[in-house]
Amino acid sequence: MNRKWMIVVMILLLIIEGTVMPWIIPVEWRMRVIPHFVFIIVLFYAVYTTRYLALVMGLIFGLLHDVIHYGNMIGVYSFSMGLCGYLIGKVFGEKRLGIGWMVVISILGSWMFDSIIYLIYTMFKVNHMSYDWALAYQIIPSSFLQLLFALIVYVPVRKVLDQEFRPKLEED
Amino acid sequence: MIIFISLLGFTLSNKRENLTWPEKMINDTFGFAQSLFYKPAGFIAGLFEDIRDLNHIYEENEQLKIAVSHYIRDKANYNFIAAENERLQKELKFTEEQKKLYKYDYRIAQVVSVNQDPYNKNITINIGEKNGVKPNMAVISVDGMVGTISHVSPLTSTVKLLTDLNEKNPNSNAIAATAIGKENQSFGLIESYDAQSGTYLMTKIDEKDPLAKGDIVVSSGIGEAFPRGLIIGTVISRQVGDYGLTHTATIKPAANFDNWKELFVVVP
Repeated sequence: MNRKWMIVVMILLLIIEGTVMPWIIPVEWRMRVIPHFVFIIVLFYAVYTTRYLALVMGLIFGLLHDVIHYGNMIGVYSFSMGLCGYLIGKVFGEKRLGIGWMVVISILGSWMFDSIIYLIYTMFKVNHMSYDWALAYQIIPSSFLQLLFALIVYVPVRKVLDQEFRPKLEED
Repeated sequence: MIIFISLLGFTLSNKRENLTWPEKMINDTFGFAQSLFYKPAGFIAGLFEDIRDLNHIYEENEQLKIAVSHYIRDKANYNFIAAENERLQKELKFTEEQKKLYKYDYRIAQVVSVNQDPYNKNITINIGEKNGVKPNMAVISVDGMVGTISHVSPLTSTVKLLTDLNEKNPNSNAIAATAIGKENQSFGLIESYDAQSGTYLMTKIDEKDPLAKGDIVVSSGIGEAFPRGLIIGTVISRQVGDYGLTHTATIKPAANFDNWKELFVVVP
Protein backbone atom coordinates (compact mmCIF):
# COMPACT_ATOMS: atom_id res chain seq x y z
CA MET A 1 0.00 0.00 0.00
CA ASN A 2 2.67 2.46 1.09
CA ARG A 3 4.72 1.51 -1.91
CA LYS A 4 2.03 2.73 -4.28
CA TRP A 5 1.73 5.98 -2.36
CA MET A 6 5.47 6.53 -2.71
CA ILE A 7 5.09 6.45 -6.49
CA VAL A 8 2.24 8.96 -6.34
CA VAL A 9 4.39 11.18 -4.10
CA MET A 10 7.29 10.94 -6.54
CA ILE A 11 5.08 11.95 -9.48
CA LEU A 12 3.84 14.89 -7.40
CA LEU A 13 7.44 15.87 -6.65
CA LEU A 14 8.26 15.69 -10.35
CA ILE A 15 5.41 18.11 -11.05
CA ILE A 16 6.40 20.40 -8.17
CA GLU A 17 9.98 20.59 -9.47
CA GLY A 18 8.78 22.19 -12.68
CA THR A 19 5.90 24.31 -11.41
CA VAL A 20 6.08 25.43 -7.79
CA MET A 21 9.85 25.52 -7.28
CA PRO A 22 10.56 28.16 -9.95
CA TRP A 23 8.34 30.51 -7.94
CA ILE A 24 9.81 29.69 -4.54
CA ILE A 25 13.49 30.02 -5.44
CA PRO A 26 14.59 33.70 -5.38
CA VAL A 27 15.13 35.32 -8.78
CA GLU A 28 18.90 35.69 -8.39
CA TRP A 29 19.38 31.98 -7.78
CA ARG A 30 16.93 30.63 -10.31
CA MET A 31 19.54 29.53 -12.84
CA ARG A 32 21.88 28.25 -10.16
CA VAL A 33 19.78 26.22 -7.75
CA ILE A 34 18.08 23.37 -9.52
CA PRO A 35 15.70 21.06 -7.65
CA HIS A 36 16.16 17.30 -8.13
CA PHE A 37 13.76 16.07 -5.48
CA VAL A 38 12.85 12.87 -7.27
CA PHE A 39 16.53 11.99 -7.38
CA ILE A 40 16.78 12.36 -3.59
CA ILE A 41 13.93 9.88 -3.16
CA VAL A 42 15.81 7.52 -5.49
CA LEU A 43 18.82 7.88 -3.19
CA PHE A 44 16.64 6.96 -0.21
CA TYR A 45 15.54 3.88 -2.14
CA ALA A 46 19.18 3.04 -2.80
CA VAL A 47 20.22 3.33 0.82
CA TYR A 48 17.19 1.84 2.60
CA THR A 49 15.97 -0.78 0.11
CA THR A 50 17.89 -2.62 -2.61
CA ARG A 51 20.07 -1.12 -5.31
CA TYR A 52 18.06 -2.88 -8.03
CA LEU A 53 14.88 -1.13 -6.99
CA ALA A 54 16.77 2.20 -6.98
CA LEU A 55 18.07 1.46 -10.48
CA VAL A 56 14.57 0.77 -11.81
CA MET A 57 13.07 3.80 -10.05
CA GLY A 58 15.86 6.04 -11.38
CA LEU A 59 15.44 4.76 -14.93
CA ILE A 60 11.66 5.20 -14.95
CA PHE A 61 11.43 8.61 -13.29
CA GLY A 62 14.46 9.91 -15.17
CA LEU A 63 12.82 8.89 -18.42
CA LEU A 64 9.58 10.64 -17.39
CA HIS A 65 11.53 13.81 -16.66
CA ASP A 66 13.32 13.52 -20.01
CA VAL A 67 10.10 13.13 -21.97
CA ILE A 68 8.27 15.96 -20.21
CA HIS A 69 11.16 18.40 -20.62
CA TYR A 70 12.40 17.14 -23.98
CA GLY A 71 14.86 19.73 -25.22
CA ASN A 72 18.06 18.39 -26.68
CA MET A 73 17.83 14.67 -26.13
CA ILE A 74 16.00 11.94 -24.24
CA GLY A 75 17.77 9.66 -21.81
CA VAL A 76 20.19 11.95 -19.97
CA TYR A 77 18.33 12.00 -16.66
CA SER A 78 17.24 8.41 -17.04
CA PHE A 79 20.81 7.21 -17.47
CA SER A 80 22.34 9.33 -14.71
CA MET A 81 19.57 8.72 -12.17
CA GLY A 82 19.70 4.98 -12.73
CA LEU A 83 23.48 4.84 -12.58
CA CYS A 84 23.75 7.03 -9.45
CA GLY A 85 21.01 5.07 -7.70
CA TYR A 86 22.75 1.80 -8.46
CA LEU A 87 26.24 2.97 -7.47
CA ILE A 88 25.10 4.60 -4.22
CA GLY A 89 23.12 1.45 -3.45
CA LYS A 90 26.18 -0.69 -4.14
CA VAL A 91 28.37 1.31 -1.76
CA PHE A 92 25.99 2.38 1.01
CA GLY A 93 23.03 0.03 0.61
CA GLU A 94 21.62 -2.38 3.22
CA LYS A 95 23.68 -1.01 6.09
CA ARG A 96 20.95 0.87 7.98
CA LEU A 97 22.88 4.10 7.98
CA GLY A 98 21.68 7.07 10.05
CA ILE A 99 20.86 10.67 9.22
CA GLY A 100 24.51 11.77 9.37
CA TRP A 101 25.39 9.42 6.56
CA MET A 102 22.35 10.55 4.62
CA VAL A 103 23.73 14.12 4.66
CA VAL A 104 26.99 12.88 3.13
CA ILE A 105 25.16 10.66 0.65
CA SER A 106 22.82 13.37 -0.58
CA ILE A 107 25.68 15.82 -1.21
CA LEU A 108 27.85 13.14 -2.81
CA GLY A 109 24.89 11.84 -4.84
CA SER A 110 23.82 15.20 -6.20
CA TRP A 111 27.41 16.08 -7.08
CA MET A 112 27.70 12.78 -8.94
CA PHE A 113 24.32 13.23 -10.65
CA ASP A 114 25.05 16.76 -11.87
CA SER A 115 28.55 15.78 -12.98
CA ILE A 116 27.25 12.88 -15.06
CA ILE A 117 24.69 15.18 -16.69
CA TYR A 118 27.48 17.69 -17.36
CA LEU A 119 29.64 14.96 -18.87
CA ILE A 120 26.90 13.66 -21.17
CA TYR A 121 26.03 17.12 -22.47
CA THR A 122 29.71 17.92 -23.01
CA MET A 123 30.25 14.62 -24.77
CA PHE A 124 27.43 15.38 -27.22
CA LYS A 125 28.76 18.93 -27.79
CA VAL A 126 25.66 20.59 -26.40
CA ASN A 127 27.51 22.24 -23.53
CA HIS A 128 30.75 24.20 -23.82
CA MET A 129 31.24 25.62 -20.35
CA SER A 130 34.22 24.49 -18.30
CA TYR A 131 33.72 22.09 -15.42
CA ASP A 132 35.11 24.56 -12.85
CA TRP A 133 32.48 27.05 -13.81
CA ALA A 134 29.65 24.50 -13.75
CA LEU A 135 30.81 23.31 -10.34
CA ALA A 136 30.83 26.75 -8.77
CA TYR A 137 27.84 28.13 -10.65
CA GLN A 138 25.36 25.34 -10.35
CA ILE A 139 26.48 21.99 -8.96
CA ILE A 140 27.50 23.12 -5.46
CA PRO A 141 24.56 25.53 -4.88
CA SER A 142 22.00 22.95 -5.98
CA SER A 143 23.50 20.22 -3.84
CA PHE A 144 22.62 22.33 -0.79
CA LEU A 145 18.98 22.53 -1.87
CA GLN A 146 19.00 18.76 -2.34
CA LEU A 147 20.49 18.35 1.16
CA LEU A 148 17.81 20.59 2.66
CA PHE A 149 15.10 18.55 0.98
CA ALA A 150 16.69 15.28 2.11
CA LEU A 151 16.69 16.48 5.73
CA ILE A 152 13.06 17.60 5.53
CA VAL A 153 11.77 14.30 4.15
CA TYR A 154 14.19 12.03 6.03
CA VAL A 155 11.85 10.97 8.84
CA PRO A 156 8.66 10.21 6.85
CA VAL A 157 10.41 8.59 3.90
CA ARG A 158 12.59 6.38 6.09
CA LYS A 159 9.55 5.30 8.09
CA VAL A 160 7.67 4.27 4.96
CA LEU A 161 10.63 2.48 3.41
CA ASP A 162 11.51 0.67 6.64
CA GLN A 163 7.93 -0.52 7.10
CA GLU A 164 7.80 -1.84 3.58
CA PHE A 165 11.21 -3.36 3.17
CA ARG A 166 12.73 -4.09 6.59
CA PRO A 167 10.90 -7.44 6.99
CA LYS A 168 12.02 -8.55 3.56
CA LEU A 169 15.63 -7.60 4.13
CA GLU A 170 15.71 -9.38 7.47
CA GLU A 171 14.39 -12.58 5.94
CA ASP A 172 17.25 -12.71 3.43
CA MET B 1 24.93 1.36 -22.02
CA ILE B 2 24.74 0.77 -25.77
CA ILE B 3 20.98 1.25 -25.69
CA PHE B 4 21.41 4.56 -23.88
CA ILE B 5 24.03 5.93 -26.21
CA SER B 6 21.94 5.06 -29.25
CA LEU B 7 18.86 6.59 -27.60
CA LEU B 8 20.77 9.78 -26.80
CA GLY B 9 22.23 10.00 -30.29
CA PHE B 10 18.92 9.26 -31.97
CA THR B 11 16.96 11.87 -30.02
CA LEU B 12 19.70 14.50 -30.37
CA SER B 13 18.97 14.97 -34.06
CA ASN B 14 17.46 18.30 -34.98
CA LYS B 15 15.41 16.73 -37.74
CA ARG B 16 13.32 14.81 -35.23
CA GLU B 17 10.47 17.25 -34.85
CA ASN B 18 7.52 14.91 -34.62
CA LEU B 19 6.99 13.11 -31.36
CA THR B 20 5.74 9.55 -31.11
CA TRP B 21 2.35 8.98 -29.49
CA PRO B 22 3.58 7.79 -26.06
CA GLU B 23 5.62 10.97 -25.75
CA LYS B 24 2.65 13.09 -26.78
CA MET B 25 0.40 11.34 -24.31
CA ILE B 26 2.82 11.79 -21.40
CA ASN B 27 3.39 15.42 -22.33
CA ASP B 28 -0.31 16.20 -22.46
CA THR B 29 -1.22 14.39 -19.25
CA PHE B 30 1.60 16.00 -17.35
CA GLY B 31 0.92 19.33 -19.00
CA PHE B 32 -2.60 19.24 -17.62
CA ALA B 33 -1.48 18.21 -14.14
CA GLN B 34 1.26 20.82 -14.12
CA SER B 35 -1.09 23.59 -15.17
CA LEU B 36 -3.13 22.87 -12.01
CA PHE B 37 -0.03 23.64 -9.94
CA TYR B 38 1.74 26.36 -11.85
CA LYS B 39 -0.95 29.01 -11.85
CA PRO B 40 -1.85 28.97 -8.13
CA ALA B 41 1.84 28.98 -7.23
CA GLY B 42 2.42 31.92 -9.53
CA PHE B 43 -0.57 33.72 -8.06
CA ILE B 44 0.64 33.36 -4.48
CA ALA B 45 4.20 34.33 -5.40
CA GLY B 46 2.75 37.25 -7.36
CA LEU B 47 0.91 38.54 -4.27
CA PHE B 48 4.15 38.87 -2.34
CA GLU B 49 5.85 40.48 -5.28
CA ASP B 50 3.03 42.98 -5.65
CA ILE B 51 3.48 44.13 -2.07
CA ARG B 52 7.21 44.49 -2.64
CA ASP B 53 6.66 46.47 -5.82
CA LEU B 54 4.11 48.89 -4.39
CA ASN B 55 6.74 51.61 -4.01
CA HIS B 56 7.74 51.54 -7.64
CA ILE B 57 4.23 51.85 -9.00
CA TYR B 58 4.07 55.64 -8.83
CA GLU B 59 7.34 55.98 -10.74
CA GLU B 60 6.26 53.39 -13.27
CA ASN B 61 2.95 55.15 -13.81
CA GLU B 62 4.78 58.37 -14.63
CA GLN B 63 6.94 56.58 -17.20
CA LEU B 64 3.95 54.85 -18.74
CA LYS B 65 2.16 58.17 -19.21
CA ILE B 66 5.13 59.47 -21.17
CA ALA B 67 5.22 56.27 -23.22
CA VAL B 68 1.50 56.58 -24.03
CA SER B 69 1.93 60.13 -25.30
CA HIS B 70 4.71 58.89 -27.57
CA TYR B 71 2.43 56.12 -28.76
CA ILE B 72 -0.36 58.47 -29.75
CA ARG B 73 2.04 60.56 -31.81
CA ASP B 74 3.50 57.47 -33.49
CA LYS B 75 0.05 56.02 -34.14
CA ALA B 76 -0.95 59.03 -36.24
CA ASN B 77 2.27 58.68 -38.17
CA TYR B 78 1.78 54.95 -38.58
CA ASN B 79 -1.72 55.30 -39.98
CA PHE B 80 -0.45 57.61 -42.70
CA ILE B 81 2.37 55.28 -43.63
CA ALA B 82 0.19 52.14 -43.53
CA ALA B 83 -2.37 53.78 -45.84
CA GLU B 84 0.33 54.88 -48.25
CA ASN B 85 1.94 51.44 -48.17
CA GLU B 86 -1.34 49.80 -49.07
CA ARG B 87 -1.86 52.22 -51.95
CA LEU B 88 1.64 51.54 -53.28
CA GLN B 89 1.17 47.77 -52.96
CA LYS B 90 -1.99 48.03 -55.00
CA GLU B 91 -0.27 50.12 -57.66
CA LEU B 92 2.61 47.67 -57.87
CA LYS B 93 0.15 44.74 -58.17
CA PHE B 94 1.41 42.72 -55.22
CA THR B 95 0.20 39.12 -55.20
CA GLU B 96 -1.96 37.92 -52.29
CA GLU B 97 0.94 35.87 -50.99
CA GLN B 98 3.30 38.82 -50.85
CA LYS B 99 0.71 40.89 -49.01
CA LYS B 100 0.23 38.23 -46.39
CA LEU B 101 3.96 37.74 -45.84
CA TYR B 102 4.26 40.04 -42.85
CA LYS B 103 0.82 39.57 -41.32
CA TYR B 104 1.33 37.59 -38.14
CA ASP B 105 -1.15 36.09 -35.77
CA TYR B 106 -0.40 36.05 -32.05
CA ARG B 107 -1.71 33.12 -29.98
CA ILE B 108 -1.73 33.64 -26.25
CA ALA B 109 -0.36 30.76 -24.17
CA GLN B 110 -0.01 30.00 -20.47
CA VAL B 111 3.19 28.52 -19.12
CA VAL B 112 2.61 25.20 -17.37
CA SER B 113 6.12 24.23 -16.28
CA VAL B 114 9.75 25.28 -16.37
CA ASN B 115 12.82 23.09 -16.67
CA GLN B 116 15.73 24.68 -14.85
CA ASP B 117 18.46 22.35 -16.08
CA PRO B 118 21.22 24.76 -17.22
CA TYR B 119 22.16 22.68 -20.27
CA ASN B 120 18.62 22.18 -21.40
CA LYS B 121 16.51 25.21 -20.56
CA ASN B 122 12.98 24.92 -21.78
CA ILE B 123 9.43 25.67 -20.77
CA THR B 124 6.12 24.01 -21.55
CA ILE B 125 3.09 26.00 -22.69
CA ASN B 126 -0.55 24.98 -22.80
CA ILE B 127 -1.31 25.25 -26.51
CA GLY B 128 -0.30 22.70 -29.11
CA GLU B 129 -1.02 21.12 -32.47
CA LYS B 130 -4.77 21.66 -32.11
CA ASN B 131 -4.22 25.42 -31.87
CA GLY B 132 -2.08 25.50 -34.98
CA VAL B 133 1.33 25.56 -33.29
CA LYS B 134 4.17 24.08 -35.34
CA PRO B 135 7.87 23.49 -34.57
CA ASN B 136 10.24 26.46 -35.09
CA MET B 137 7.62 29.14 -34.54
CA ALA B 138 8.86 32.13 -32.55
CA VAL B 139 7.65 32.70 -28.99
CA ILE B 140 7.60 36.16 -27.41
CA SER B 141 6.74 37.66 -24.05
CA VAL B 142 5.49 41.20 -23.48
CA ASP B 143 9.10 42.42 -23.37
CA GLY B 144 10.67 40.60 -26.29
CA MET B 145 11.56 37.35 -27.95
CA VAL B 146 12.13 34.42 -25.59
CA GLY B 147 12.54 31.33 -27.78
CA THR B 148 11.24 28.97 -30.42
CA ILE B 149 8.90 25.99 -30.37
CA SER B 150 10.95 22.80 -30.37
CA HIS B 151 8.39 20.01 -29.96
CA VAL B 152 4.63 19.92 -30.29
CA SER B 153 2.02 17.60 -28.73
CA PRO B 154 -1.71 17.90 -29.38
CA LEU B 155 -2.38 20.07 -26.29
CA THR B 156 1.02 21.29 -25.12
CA SER B 157 4.29 22.33 -26.68
CA THR B 158 7.87 22.81 -25.57
CA VAL B 159 9.67 26.12 -26.00
CA LYS B 160 13.43 26.16 -26.39
CA LEU B 161 14.72 29.36 -24.84
CA LEU B 162 17.10 31.73 -26.60
CA THR B 163 19.47 31.25 -23.66
CA ASP B 164 20.20 27.88 -25.25
CA LEU B 165 21.68 29.55 -28.34
CA ASN B 166 25.19 28.35 -29.05
CA GLU B 167 27.11 28.47 -32.30
CA LYS B 168 28.77 25.12 -31.57
CA ASN B 169 25.56 23.27 -30.73
CA PRO B 170 24.27 21.26 -33.69
CA ASN B 171 20.69 21.97 -32.60
CA SER B 172 20.67 25.76 -32.47
CA ASN B 173 19.97 28.16 -35.32
CA ALA B 174 21.29 31.71 -35.49
CA ILE B 175 18.78 34.56 -35.81
CA ALA B 176 19.17 37.21 -38.51
CA ALA B 177 18.89 40.57 -36.79
CA THR B 178 18.94 44.30 -37.47
CA ALA B 179 18.52 47.50 -35.48
CA ILE B 180 15.42 49.68 -35.15
CA GLY B 181 15.71 52.76 -37.34
CA LYS B 182 18.59 51.22 -39.33
CA GLU B 183 16.66 48.33 -40.87
CA ASN B 184 18.14 48.72 -44.33
CA GLN B 185 21.77 49.26 -43.37
CA SER B 186 22.35 47.08 -40.35
CA PHE B 187 22.69 43.30 -40.31
CA GLY B 188 24.12 40.63 -38.03
CA LEU B 189 23.50 37.15 -36.68
CA ILE B 190 22.59 36.45 -33.07
CA GLU B 191 24.58 33.29 -32.59
CA SER B 192 25.16 32.50 -28.96
CA TYR B 193 24.17 33.26 -25.39
CA ASP B 194 26.75 33.62 -22.66
CA ALA B 195 25.38 32.37 -19.36
CA GLN B 196 28.28 33.89 -17.42
CA SER B 197 27.46 37.48 -18.39
CA GLY B 198 23.83 36.96 -19.39
CA THR B 199 24.19 38.47 -22.87
CA TYR B 200 23.82 37.47 -26.52
CA LEU B 201 26.66 37.73 -28.99
CA MET B 202 25.78 39.21 -32.38
CA THR B 203 28.33 38.34 -35.07
CA LYS B 204 29.06 38.99 -38.77
CA ILE B 205 28.42 42.72 -38.50
CA ASP B 206 29.96 44.66 -41.36
CA GLU B 207 32.73 47.16 -40.58
CA LYS B 208 30.73 50.02 -42.08
CA ASP B 209 27.56 49.02 -40.28
CA PRO B 210 26.01 51.99 -38.38
CA LEU B 211 25.03 49.78 -35.42
CA ALA B 212 26.01 51.52 -32.18
CA LYS B 213 25.68 51.22 -28.43
CA GLY B 214 22.10 51.66 -27.21
CA ASP B 215 20.42 50.50 -30.41
CA ILE B 216 17.44 48.17 -30.07
CA VAL B 217 18.02 44.93 -31.95
CA VAL B 218 15.07 43.24 -33.68
CA SER B 219 14.78 40.13 -35.84
CA SER B 220 15.05 41.05 -39.52
CA GLY B 221 12.89 38.34 -41.08
CA ILE B 222 15.55 37.58 -43.69
CA GLY B 223 15.54 33.86 -44.36
CA GLU B 224 11.95 33.68 -43.16
CA ALA B 225 12.75 31.31 -40.31
CA PHE B 226 11.82 33.98 -37.79
CA PRO B 227 9.14 36.65 -38.23
CA ARG B 228 10.48 40.18 -38.58
CA GLY B 229 10.30 42.93 -36.01
CA LEU B 230 10.50 40.86 -32.82
CA ILE B 231 12.49 42.73 -30.19
CA ILE B 232 15.59 40.83 -29.06
CA GLY B 233 17.59 43.26 -26.93
CA THR B 234 19.77 46.36 -26.62
CA VAL B 235 23.37 46.73 -27.76
CA ILE B 236 25.73 47.30 -24.84
CA SER B 237 29.04 47.20 -26.67
CA ARG B 238 30.59 46.58 -30.05
CA GLN B 239 34.00 45.06 -30.72
CA VAL B 240 36.16 43.87 -33.61
CA GLY B 241 35.54 40.16 -34.14
CA ASP B 242 37.94 37.23 -33.74
CA TYR B 243 39.33 37.37 -37.26
CA GLY B 244 39.35 41.16 -37.57
CA LEU B 245 37.17 41.12 -40.70
CA THR B 246 33.78 41.63 -39.12
CA HIS B 247 32.56 43.15 -35.89
CA THR B 248 30.65 41.58 -33.02
CA ALA B 249 28.24 43.19 -30.58
CA THR B 250 27.19 42.24 -27.09
CA ILE B 251 23.44 42.41 -26.58
CA LYS B 252 21.44 42.57 -23.39
CA PRO B 253 18.23 40.50 -23.73
CA ALA B 254 14.97 42.45 -23.66
CA ALA B 255 12.93 39.59 -22.22
CA ASN B 256 13.69 38.54 -18.67
CA PHE B 257 14.03 34.82 -18.22
CA ASP B 258 12.89 34.74 -14.61
CA ASN B 259 9.14 34.97 -14.24
CA TRP B 260 6.96 33.18 -16.71
CA LYS B 261 3.25 33.83 -17.01
CA GLU B 262 1.75 34.52 -20.41
CA LEU B 263 3.62 34.09 -23.66
CA PHE B 264 2.62 34.63 -27.28
CA VAL B 265 3.27 32.26 -30.13
CA VAL B 266 3.78 34.06 -33.44
CA VAL B 267 1.87 32.20 -36.15
CA PRO B 268 2.77 33.36 -39.66
